[in-house]
Amino acid sequence: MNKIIKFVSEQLSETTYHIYHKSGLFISYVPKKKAAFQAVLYVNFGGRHERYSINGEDVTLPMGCAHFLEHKMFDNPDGKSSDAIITSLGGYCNAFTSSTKTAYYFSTTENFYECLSHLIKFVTTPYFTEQSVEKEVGIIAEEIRGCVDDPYDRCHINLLSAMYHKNTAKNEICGTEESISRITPEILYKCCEHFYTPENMSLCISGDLDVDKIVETVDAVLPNFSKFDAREINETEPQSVASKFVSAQMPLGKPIFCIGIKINDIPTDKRERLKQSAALDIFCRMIFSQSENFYLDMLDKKLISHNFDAGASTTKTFSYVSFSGESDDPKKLARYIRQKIREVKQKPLDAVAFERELRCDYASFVSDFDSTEDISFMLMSYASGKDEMNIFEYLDILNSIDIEYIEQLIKRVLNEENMSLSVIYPT
Amino acid sequence: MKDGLFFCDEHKTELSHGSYLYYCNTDQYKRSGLDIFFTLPMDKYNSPLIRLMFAVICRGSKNFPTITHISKHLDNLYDSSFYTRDYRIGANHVFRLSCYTIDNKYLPQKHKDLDLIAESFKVVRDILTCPLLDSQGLLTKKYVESEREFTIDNIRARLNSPKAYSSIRCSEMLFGDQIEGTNIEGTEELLRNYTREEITAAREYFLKNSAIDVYYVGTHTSERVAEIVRPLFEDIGERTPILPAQKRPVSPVTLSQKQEEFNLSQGILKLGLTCGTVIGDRDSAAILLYNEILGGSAASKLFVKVREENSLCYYCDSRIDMCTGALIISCGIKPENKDRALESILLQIEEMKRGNITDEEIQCAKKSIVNGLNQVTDTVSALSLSDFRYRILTDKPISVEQRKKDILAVTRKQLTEVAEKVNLCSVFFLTSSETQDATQYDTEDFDDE
Repeated sequence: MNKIIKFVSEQLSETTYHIYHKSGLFISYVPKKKAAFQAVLYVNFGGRHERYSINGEDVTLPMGCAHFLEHKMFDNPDGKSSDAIITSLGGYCNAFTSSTKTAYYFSTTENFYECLSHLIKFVTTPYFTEQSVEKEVGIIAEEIRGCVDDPYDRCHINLLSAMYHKNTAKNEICGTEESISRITPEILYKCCEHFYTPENMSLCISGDLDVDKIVETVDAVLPNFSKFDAREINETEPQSVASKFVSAQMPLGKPIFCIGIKINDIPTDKRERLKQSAALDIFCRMIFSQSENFYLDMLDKKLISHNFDAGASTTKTFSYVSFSGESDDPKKLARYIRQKIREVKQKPLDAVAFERELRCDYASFVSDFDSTEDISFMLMSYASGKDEMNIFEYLDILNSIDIEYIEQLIKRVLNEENMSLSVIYPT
Repeated sequence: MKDGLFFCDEHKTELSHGSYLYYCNTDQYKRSGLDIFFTLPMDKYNSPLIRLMFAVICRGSKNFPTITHISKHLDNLYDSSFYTRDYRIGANHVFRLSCYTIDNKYLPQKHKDLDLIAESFKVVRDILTCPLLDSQGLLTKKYVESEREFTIDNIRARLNSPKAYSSIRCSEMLFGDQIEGTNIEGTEELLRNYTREEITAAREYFLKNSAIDVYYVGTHTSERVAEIVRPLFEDIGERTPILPAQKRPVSPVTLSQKQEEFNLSQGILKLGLTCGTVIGDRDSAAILLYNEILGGSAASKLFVKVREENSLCYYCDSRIDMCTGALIISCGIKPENKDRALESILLQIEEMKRGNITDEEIQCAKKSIVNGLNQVTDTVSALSLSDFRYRILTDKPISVEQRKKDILAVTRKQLTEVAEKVNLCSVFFLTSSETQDATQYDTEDFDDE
């Protein structure tokens, strides 16, 4: 039996629906009068899912499986590719794999329900052959080479390898040419069977649509309940970073850097986790954004350029604060950042800066409701069936953050000694 | 809206001689605001000079002397954004200055009376008309030298992205000496030679001689917006705007091929072609459709034949610049597959000339373009830019509805006619002398000095 709940935000003049579908799929929908309709169907299976147990059996996958599967799910027995089918209906279709998820999405201005039906069908209907898997190895090998040649990608991946000893957050999402050569149709079918079940998926939709018709479309494609049984196996990650500094050389105009501060204390509750992540983001902007003297000082010293960025990344199993950009002397910059964090932890934070950054966060969240694409990706982050959380609660979370919370948080979780620096130098 | 146009002429307001406010009243966006376009014909010497000047004045002004002052002021206004970027539109160098705010309706009660657009426009006006000058009346040495170095760093940073570097090289070969191919970033040598006097004088020239068009989307009345923006023109004073350069398609050049070697894992192949058609031309809809069929989507010939069927690459696509009629095909491949990939790509171009295009390919491509056009009105940024491009190059805006009709009306015959006019002019290949992993690793503690 399907359950539909409606939530309204008077403040934002927006509405959202949560649909607990009988198949186990969780659907979140925000109505929006725009030309474009957008749907994202995501699976909680990503680059870091390397080991898991199911029915008493431990399974280890070659690195890059989730991404390989993402490529192959578009195949159909008749030889037609699913993205071409959605294109023929007038839509644009694509997918991506992150450390934690694989997301398949489309946007269209017509034939939404047909595209939606096809999206769900192809994501839940695997079809792999020896020949098609072998062909894909060549394509993904080229993708890997493209990533290897991107210095910003390299710098970030090296940072993750430096921060984490065992956490699979550091896994190369595409895998390596060696690891993908070990992927077989049997492995892919097993991954589908274990992870691509509706209970392990969510569907996020935005557009000028009818909620009953959405449900009817999903009913027709997913008539039965399907349980998700796989359990991740994660190794214990030491608190310290694996390496404080890693460097490489590539053809570049100027050194580029990524600095990460590893955070070990990650709340298990989703709302607490979002609150911590938002607070760390606000903290980063309070100290390191263009509005602050640190930025100006580093710019004058030519230790950063206009593309300097700071922020927080948080998931269920890893979290860090990071800084990135270009610098003539990344090591010197890293020492300044470390020193700055030490200083701010020892005195009260600036209330005026806090108020200013809170306004920015609020306005940024409000503005994202202008686009069906942004809304559907926001739903991925904030709407959760399991946690019974709707997208508007993010405002409540923001409102619950005060300056004392941030002061206590940075003292508790932000250990500036747990810092790694990754640099790519020009050859 | 009239005649399907969001910025119809009946609603435009003259701000100053030849400069208009194009206005669209709507409450459908939570964040909206102003776009100001400054247009000058491109010039190999002046375009990089003005670009540098613009970067310098955005560092600070009389009442907002640093980036920090600017940023603090705007952040306090609920993340009011002020961003600048420049474009090459045909033979014109266009600067776009955008000032967006969230609608007052969404502000907390205590701040509902904040005049966000007026307060953020103060920054725009100050930056443009109250620059930070030294005792000699020149733009400050600190900011000039700093931005000069950052711009030179950006030029050197072309190497950071092999794809972007390859595009630049292919385009340079395609355009040759034609003005549409002007490098608006300049060269290191040029940038080092500009004097502070020249950079300061460029500001006056820019304000007095640019064609200026202002767009507003939001809930304020046009009278209110004009009231906010008009003082900028009063500050600038008498102007003699230069007419934007007329559109013209880039002329074909003799085919040239070049190869360069980097320490890379993946080779990048770029082909530069001319089409002889630009925005507003009789067959512009046909060439747009041509590009979409050739390499514009996952159903395109390049994607299906070169990537999917031959497994030669991760990506193979084509992009067309409708302001110049230049079409660039891009492909990431193993270096040893270069000849096979080139052959396969050339075959698809030949197939288009022969008219070997299926009905399915045509229908998919039409739907894909119409899907994109339908979404132009979904964002403020796309809405303004789309209208502006047509006005600047054709002097006659075309509604989205008309553009859709034109695409749907393209016939197979028209497709083969435009295909005949496509000329291959440049082939650039960025290759690697080795095919192994190009990076090397070592570890040490960064505290050690």
